[in-house]
Amino acid sequence: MVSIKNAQKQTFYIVRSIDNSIIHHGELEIGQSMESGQQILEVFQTEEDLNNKLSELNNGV
Amino acid sequence: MNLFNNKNKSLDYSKFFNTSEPISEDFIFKIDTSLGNGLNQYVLELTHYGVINYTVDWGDGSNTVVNSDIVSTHNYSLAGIYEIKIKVISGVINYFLGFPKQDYLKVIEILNIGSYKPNTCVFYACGYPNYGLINFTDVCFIIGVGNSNFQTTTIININLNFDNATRLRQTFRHATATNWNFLLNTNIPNVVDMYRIFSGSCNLDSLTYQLLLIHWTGWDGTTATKTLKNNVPADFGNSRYEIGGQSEDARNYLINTLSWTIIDGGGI
Repeated sequence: MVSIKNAQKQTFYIVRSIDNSIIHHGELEIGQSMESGQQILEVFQTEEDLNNKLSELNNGV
Repeated sequence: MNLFNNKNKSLDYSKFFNTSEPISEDFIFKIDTSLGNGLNQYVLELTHYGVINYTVDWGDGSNTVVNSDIVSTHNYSLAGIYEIKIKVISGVINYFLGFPKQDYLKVIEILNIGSYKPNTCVFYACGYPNYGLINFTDVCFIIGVGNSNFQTTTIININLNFDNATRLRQTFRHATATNWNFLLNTNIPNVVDMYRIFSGSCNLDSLTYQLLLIHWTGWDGTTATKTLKNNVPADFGNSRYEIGGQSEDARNYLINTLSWTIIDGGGI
């Protein structure tokens, strides 16, 4: 399980399974939390960074 | 705890599940031409993907077959209340109502959603700025629910069926309701995606969120009794579960057993 508790700033994230067959992404506003049963968590400072990573994952990079 | 003690007694589900009485596939709504700009006309502007074919029954004996036009304007000989029926023959409509360019202020009642296709966004922005007039009571989803159906909508009273829905992405994003208890009449056995469902300025309250976790999982105090899909992303906005309560147990089940990803306001 991975999580972000009580975000202190707008936070972009990807959570995914080890084999990338499951990819969830989203953004947290201040005070929000995210918990996931997926295995891997990646946090990004900007939406652009998030989208770049999503593109990589979708292209199998 | 009786999860259904707030069920609106005026809701009559039998009309939606009586197989001997086929459900109309038409999108049906009522207008009052005296509202909005007050002209004796209705400007229907549908947003759609690609080629579209649909018919419009304007409620005064006139019918229009639309092949590709986005905007259809109908002039009535008399001011009044009319029931408009839209039948989609082919193609996909993604907005039925709600864009400012059309006469949405004249809409006074939604009578039937019909079997519109997924990816539609029926009520986008309908709740803004003037939606005290709309009666959602008889709205019912039978076939499926696509994206953003109630985004930015003010929900007064509604009857929803998510049994066949697979995606509820952004369905209530920025939506407000005076009472979210109608969700406790729904089940989501086939839903695989609730990305941003209650996000933005949606006012889903913590108590309804807690009851929803228990209801959707069928949590009996020990285990879940209802079948749900695995790996579902779900966004409950700033609503908070009860630490040490059954809602936390149900939430933990969704995350740890079904591998859901849940956004919320944390525990309280």
